[in-house]
Amino acid sequence: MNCEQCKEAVFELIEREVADPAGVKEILDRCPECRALFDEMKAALVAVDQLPLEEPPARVDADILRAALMRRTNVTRVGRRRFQAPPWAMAAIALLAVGVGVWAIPRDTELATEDALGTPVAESDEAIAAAPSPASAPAELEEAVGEKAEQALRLNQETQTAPLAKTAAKPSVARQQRARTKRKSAPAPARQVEAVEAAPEEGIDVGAVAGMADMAEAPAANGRAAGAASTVVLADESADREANKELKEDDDDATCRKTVADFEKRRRRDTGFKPDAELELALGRCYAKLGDTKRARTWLERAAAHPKTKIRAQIALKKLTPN
Amino acid sequence: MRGRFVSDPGDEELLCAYQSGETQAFEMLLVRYRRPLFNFLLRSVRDRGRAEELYQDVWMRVIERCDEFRGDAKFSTWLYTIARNRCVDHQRKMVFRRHASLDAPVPGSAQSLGERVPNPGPSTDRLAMRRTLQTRIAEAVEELPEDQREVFLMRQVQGLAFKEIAEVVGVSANTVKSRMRYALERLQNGLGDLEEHVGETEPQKHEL
Repeated sequence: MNCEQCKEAVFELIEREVADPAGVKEILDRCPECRALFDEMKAALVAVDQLPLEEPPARVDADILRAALMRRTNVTRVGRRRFQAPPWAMAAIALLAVGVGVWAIPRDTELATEDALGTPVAESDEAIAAAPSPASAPAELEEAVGEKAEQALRLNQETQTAPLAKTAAKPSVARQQRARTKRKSAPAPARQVEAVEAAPEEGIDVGAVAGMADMAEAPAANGRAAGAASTVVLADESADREANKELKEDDDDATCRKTVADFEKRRRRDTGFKPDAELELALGRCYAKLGDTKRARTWLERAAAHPKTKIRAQIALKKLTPN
Repeated sequence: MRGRFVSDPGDEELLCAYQSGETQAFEMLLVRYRRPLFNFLLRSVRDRGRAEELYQDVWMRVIERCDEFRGDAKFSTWLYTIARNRCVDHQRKMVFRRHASLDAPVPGSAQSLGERVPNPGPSTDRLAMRRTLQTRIAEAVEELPEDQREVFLMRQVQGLAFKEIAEVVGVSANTVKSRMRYALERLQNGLGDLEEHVGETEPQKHEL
């Protein structure tokens, strides 16, 4: 090994010295210059070993982890979309089915109905659309899928530990609320309506009661339940999200209106009032929720300028931007 | 999830797991790299607030672009390439490079740099000596030329191999070694007056 090679390999020699001190000594003894360089580098490495290492702030780590979690949710959502027909296709099928249904009704029946009730045909169309028809088939299918998801969610929750079980109670309430909403907006099968009416008083899981009798026995076996839950994990997560979303929607709207009203009131009182980063973020989100995209963007951009709220604001801003 | 990895999983394995939706794999990566990465950024930009911002940006980029990672390079190389690019962008954005005046207050501190770096005289307080020593080393590192500093930090703080550093920086491994040598020579010269105290304090263990 000549001097140039020794110079290039000085760090390797320092590392090698631990395992093979005699070998390294032999190399260095050939050249005092190489020995000097070796000693100098070694001394410097010892000196800088005390370079202090500082900790990144925990709140930043928490924000990063939250962002990582959100990406994962998006991945799952995108994955699920692959198995779903696009919404416009579902709407087109529903419209077609309604059209066929209306067309299929004999003209004399319409006239008879009009004569008997004394109402115009156009009004009775509502009744036709509301009646069980091919159009209701996709809705029923969706309902069944939703219920399967809810069932899986419930089974999954039962396999969780106690602290998780507390948080899992929320979707159940959401399901009740959703069931109530559905009952108002669309005709439901009689059995389901009964279940919905019975559930709030008895605290029964509506999603499980309102159909899917064949799955009722599933919670008995935890292992099986876990298996079932994992097979429908996509539907499970989606149902969870939807249930939470619906539960929060009404409350969120009211809270947002209040947040915005409070802020505007305060700013009227004190024109110099400057909201902090968290309030800016909250205002941005609220305006977004209330449909005021311009103001939402303004506040979110301000929130994005603060390190504390940067990631959350950026995520909210991304949601504002249509894909 | 942690149970899934019976042995210590590789970084690339963890990233693959995260790509397929396992958030805890990402958490493990974060735990592994948070400290060295933050210190790399901190010593590179020499401003804690800016370092926090860049630290967040780097991880956000990892999250956003993790699907682009194909495993051709090591995760650490990829991570530090992103971090280095962010630092370069940051330096470009600065109109001029700040050279802290000894009389100017240090950001985040009421003290000036001159006040913070007392002339190291004999002290019976070992802890105080260690702090002084650490401060001096940190400042000496921050004073290194950029090309030497980044190599030094990647090697010393993260423990990257010279070959990996060469990939991140885009030069040959021999050039990286030369830069490391120059950096150490400079540090050795700068910290020469402290040499007698180095042995007096216990070396700090780096958790990598």
